[in-house]
Amino acid sequence: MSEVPRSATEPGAFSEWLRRSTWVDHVLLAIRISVAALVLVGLAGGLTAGTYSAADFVSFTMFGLTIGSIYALIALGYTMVYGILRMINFAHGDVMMIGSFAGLFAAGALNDAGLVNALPLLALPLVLAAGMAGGAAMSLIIERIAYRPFLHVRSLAPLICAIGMSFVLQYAARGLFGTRNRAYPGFGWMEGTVSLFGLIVPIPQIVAFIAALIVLAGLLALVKLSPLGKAMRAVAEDRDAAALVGINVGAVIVATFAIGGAMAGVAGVLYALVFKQITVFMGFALGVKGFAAAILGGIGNLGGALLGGLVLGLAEALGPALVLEGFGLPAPYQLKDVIGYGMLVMILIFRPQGLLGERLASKRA
Amino acid sequence: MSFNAVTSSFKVTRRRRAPLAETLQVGALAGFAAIGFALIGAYVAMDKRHVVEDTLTLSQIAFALMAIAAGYVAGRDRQGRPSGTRVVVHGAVAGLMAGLCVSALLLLMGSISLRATLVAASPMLIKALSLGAPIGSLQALVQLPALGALLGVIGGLFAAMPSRYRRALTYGFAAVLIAGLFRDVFVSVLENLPDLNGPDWEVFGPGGLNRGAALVLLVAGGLFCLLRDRWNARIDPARRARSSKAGLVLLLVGVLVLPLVTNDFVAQVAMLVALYMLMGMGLNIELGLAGLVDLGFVAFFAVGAYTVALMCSSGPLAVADVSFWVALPVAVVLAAGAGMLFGLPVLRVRGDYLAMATLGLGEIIRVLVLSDALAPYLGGSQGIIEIDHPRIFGISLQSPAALYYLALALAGVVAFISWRLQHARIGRAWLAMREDEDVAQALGIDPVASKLLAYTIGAAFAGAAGAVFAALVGSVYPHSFQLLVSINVLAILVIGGLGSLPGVLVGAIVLIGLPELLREFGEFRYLFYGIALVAMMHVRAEGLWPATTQTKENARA
Amino acid sequence: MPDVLPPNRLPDGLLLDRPLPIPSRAPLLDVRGLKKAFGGMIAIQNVDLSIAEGSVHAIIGPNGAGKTTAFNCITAFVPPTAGRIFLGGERIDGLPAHVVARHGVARTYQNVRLFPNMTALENVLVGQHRRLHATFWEAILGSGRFRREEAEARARAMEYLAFVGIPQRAGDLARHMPYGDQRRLEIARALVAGPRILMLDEPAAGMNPAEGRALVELIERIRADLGVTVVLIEHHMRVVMAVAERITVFNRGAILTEGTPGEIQADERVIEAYLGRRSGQVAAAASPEPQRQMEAGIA
Repeated sequence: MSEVPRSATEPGAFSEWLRRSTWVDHVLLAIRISVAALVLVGLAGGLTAGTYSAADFVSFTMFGLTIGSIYALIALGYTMVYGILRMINFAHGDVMMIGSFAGLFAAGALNDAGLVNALPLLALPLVLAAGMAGGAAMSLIIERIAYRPFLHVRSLAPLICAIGMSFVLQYAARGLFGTRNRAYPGFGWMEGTVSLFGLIVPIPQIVAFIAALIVLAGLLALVKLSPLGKAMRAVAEDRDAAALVGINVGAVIVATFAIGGAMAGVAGVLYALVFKQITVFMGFALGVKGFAAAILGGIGNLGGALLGGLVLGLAEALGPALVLEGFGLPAPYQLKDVIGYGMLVMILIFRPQGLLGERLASKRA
Repeated sequence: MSFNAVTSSFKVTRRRRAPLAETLQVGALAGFAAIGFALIGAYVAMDKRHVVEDTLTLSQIAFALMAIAAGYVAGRDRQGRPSGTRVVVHGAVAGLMAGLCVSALLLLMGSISLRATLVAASPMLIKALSLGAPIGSLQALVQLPALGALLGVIGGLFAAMPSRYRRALTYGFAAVLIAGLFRDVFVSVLENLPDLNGPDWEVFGPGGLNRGAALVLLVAGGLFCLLRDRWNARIDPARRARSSKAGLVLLLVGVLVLPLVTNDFVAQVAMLVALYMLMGMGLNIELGLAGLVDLGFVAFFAVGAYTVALMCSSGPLAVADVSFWVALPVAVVLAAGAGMLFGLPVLRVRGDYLAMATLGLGEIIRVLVLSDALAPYLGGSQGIIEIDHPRIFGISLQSPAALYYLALALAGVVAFISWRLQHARIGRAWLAMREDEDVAQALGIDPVASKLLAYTIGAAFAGAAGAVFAALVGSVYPHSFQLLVSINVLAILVIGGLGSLPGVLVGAIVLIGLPELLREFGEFRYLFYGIALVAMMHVRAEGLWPATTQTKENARA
Repeated sequence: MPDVLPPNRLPDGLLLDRPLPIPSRAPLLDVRGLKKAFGGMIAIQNVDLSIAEGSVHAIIGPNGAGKTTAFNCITAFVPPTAGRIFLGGERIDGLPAHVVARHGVARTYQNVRLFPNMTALENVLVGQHRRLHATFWEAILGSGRFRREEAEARARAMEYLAFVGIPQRAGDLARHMPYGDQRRLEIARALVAGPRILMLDEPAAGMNPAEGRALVELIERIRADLGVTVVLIEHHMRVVMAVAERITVFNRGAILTEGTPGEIQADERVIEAYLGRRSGQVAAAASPEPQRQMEAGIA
């Protein structure tokens, strides 16, 4: 073929960007620069203000890792369902709430039986199991009502249905269980702190962190090693092709919802142990943050969910002290949630594909 | 995938079990529904509302409807027309089963206390479910299954009767129910009318309909339906269309004169309905036309409300003290600006991220407004008070009726704008984007720009609604701006019909007006919203609403 | 191939609002070293294409040869992995799809993609998006310019529906239309934007011989009356041979050969590509479909 018209004026990277970019990219760049500047100013102020000691920051970090591992567990449910269905389970946060209440009732029953005090290390797994069962069952119901009927339809129906289910769950739970805060009975041994490598850490944080790690390791093993995990990965890759090679796609979807719900149930129980109070409306905020963690890590990516959860937890724990304090705002901890939700928006501004995501940038081609 | 794939291939034919097992299952389902209804506290709450004075309460009707529905389904679900005995037997079995479930609950509550776990399992519930029989007596336990069986038979017979009479009965019953439920509205209307009631004959008692009036209404409703059917069968379709147009005009006239003929409470409710209509029109552009699921709508509502609050308040936080008519455009522009700024990063990613991201936005605004950090400017949880009422021609719009007309007029303006846009270049671009985003883009439509425009306009309308809200309430507090407002608006659109302007009106009346008038519903409002959203999607969403948000694997082809 | 185009048969009215380009042999669309990989799978590579202005150019090749992928790269449906694309001398690769469309590229789809719940008229109105200029405010206020423009747009839409031969379908919902009419509507929707180049992806798929002849005639009119350069992917050899001036043959993600219809028909490698390495009875039995098509075209 004829000569390639390139040699003479090979454009630089910047002019190439200018050629390709549209006004959207330009405005976005401006937003990015101003957000980054804002954070840097806050950070500089926070570091020089010296309100908090190094020990404070260490304890913030510990707390951030704990809450982060809970976010990671919630994020897994979003990410798994998204990986398979390319849809967001809007009611996932409320699944977590149901799991938390299932754990509450299990703890209550075990406490009445005297088991919590007698065999605390047996009671904890039992409560976790109850939470997992509750979360998985609720997740299955949601799949049945909001997703399965619309499996072959391109529409917003599943999303609207899931929004509806979220409200059904919240307000049915409110009617059933009441609005007051509740705590798991009998877990008194969790009061107090232990000294770990010279750091003073509250016991529930250690328990929650370790339990989250164990569950996550189990899940990763399941997905990487078991036949079910293989089938799940196949369906995530290409649903039709998976069906052609004989994988029962419906069953895989059901299993995915069940596992995601179980993870949320674990998150609900651990949350209850760390914060010592649960309400029927807690699923909403935690659901949004779990979702933020999922897209922060790169939605559809299990490792990303873990990373995203921890990063979000740390940002939320350290952010008020580090950044908001720097602006001299009064009571920065009131704005903890702003950091959490703000992270969600920031990811979308800076890197919509998430930290570990590459494949699913703005849309799938 | 072509659009033919929109119709689901997933209509599973129901597996046929033994008829009796199926009937028992239907009955058990109704029973569980009844138990759920009781345990979420709805039974006790709605037991206070008498539909027919001293005879029937709302929760009794709800229970009866569940048993009748069970009997109806059990009686109907056979091939061909059901035979008489079969209808009776299966209806009775289904109703009996439902009644047994409730009896079991009653027995359980009587023997152990569930209150530690389930707050609604109270002595009041036991008393209410005993229907006046001595608590814990055999009669209390037996009468429920017996009643259930009876109602089940009625349901079965209902299924078996000719549809003409079935419809007539439904009409009559609906007339009684509506009259009983909205007693307060009708009483207030009757009070404003010249005294037509005879001295010793009152339609309404202190709680609900009087028995005689209920009977008259039942018969009248049924007769009306039968006569109308006969009338409709005779006349030609053109005249029928004209009469339905007349119905629409009648509805509009009703909407216009409503606050004049009733009391201030009803006018207040009407004002709220108009306000939500205004918001519904705004979200309709985003969701109904452009297919954007926006749950952060309330954030722009808050921007509008706080703008007016700061500009029109005579309190200490005011930054200006100008007329509402100056503040309104400022509020709209600020809300639109906020929408544009926030929309840009969110709108270039996947459609269903939007629901979550906007949810986060709504909460960010609420937390910010509530925080101590901004309290010196926005009042924190104390809010901003003493907002001046709007004045027009020197008259202060203060009464609920005046503010109702203000909101209604704005809603009309917004409706007009959305109607115009819908039939212009940009409206067609929105619809095309909703149908197939890739193809629309290949035709030269900038997807981010057109979505951003829809989002900005929606935000501007939300800001206008917020401005009106601040003016009519006279004060703003952070707790007025919860996510639930967004959900209200979303539900109005989904229930009323996406993209349809009359749908917004109907949705706002059904979802905002009715629960306000039915105080007993208040607590369970969002539960019913949730159920309604799910039910709507199952009953009529498929195909009616193909959207842009799905994956685009087929583009590779 | 005749070097002189047939005389313009310009219909009355608004159909054409810019002068016909002087038929030149300068390339309108120039593709250099195009490559697209999906993950590890290379769909196309080393694709060089040069489409002369005012010509009808066909792309043929067995299924999976990468024809549609090349289309998708050119119209920015998918971002190319490497390579450059020029339209009338301007680079268009890497631009978003709507900007590429505004440069004058229009297309149809292998599996017809209309806006199913809009009428035929509305579909064509959407196609005019970048020709309409009334602002948002003018639309709300219903200004004179807005109303005039809307009336013009409707008239133009009707003319284009008539041009492709389905004026009677204007009020029908796209999804209720017969398949052949849907294909015609898709072409009308693409043409109404006033493109410089029209890319048709298997326009004759599922058509009978009579419909195929009508399509050939339509493509001729698109080139001659509207002055739009046409690139088409097509399996029906009768259509290809009747309408194309040049033919590019794709095979296994690369260009096998390019030439006039006569040259292609004579090329041994093309037949081999369609029938497999060992041409003859065995391969023919294994894939009867391409053989039938080739025979239909070449015989």
